[in-house]
Amino acid sequence: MSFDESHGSPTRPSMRTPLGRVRNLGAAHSGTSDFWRQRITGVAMTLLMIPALVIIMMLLGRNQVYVAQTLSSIPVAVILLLFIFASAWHMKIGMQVVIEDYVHNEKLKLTAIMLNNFFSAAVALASTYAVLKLSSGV
Amino acid sequence: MFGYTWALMHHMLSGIRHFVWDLGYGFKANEREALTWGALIGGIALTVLIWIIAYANGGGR
Repeated sequence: MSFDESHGSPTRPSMRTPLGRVRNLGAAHSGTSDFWRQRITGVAMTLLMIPALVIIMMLLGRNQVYVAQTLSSIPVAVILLLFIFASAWHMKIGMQVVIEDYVHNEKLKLTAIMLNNFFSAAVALASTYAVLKLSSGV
Repeated sequence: MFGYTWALMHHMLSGIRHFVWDLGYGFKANEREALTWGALIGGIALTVLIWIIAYANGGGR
């Protein structure tokens, strides 16, 4: 069976391009934007991994005053915030792809995707709030 | 934390493997094998290295 037969009249040849016929037919029904964002966040985290690790290691075993002092540096806080942002987004897309591919009940799938969004947003916001709180010293 | 570090490093190296494939390289059978083993062994090596550095920097402080 070809896409021609399932998405157009077999008797009338379609003028749609092959790309136009398959566009939005993936499991997500939303094209390739998530695919691309997953790559952007992945590259971002690969680049941020070393500075983020160095910062975390600087804080090992230190008390809260020292951590607050370290995070009050703007580049340190920004690196951690970028890492949080990229990893939460990457996590959200990654889980969503698994749900879309393996949960076949439509209602269950939409519920799972929604909970995944809530969870990822909560993790991202809680982590961001923690960094901002420490770095602003309040 | 040790296990999480390993998961993170393995995921990162496997991700880099996928970037290599995205760029159109490494599709031959022996290259695929090498990249996969590289991610597995490299992930363990990086994890051990990170924790050696962490302890050298006063991780038990």
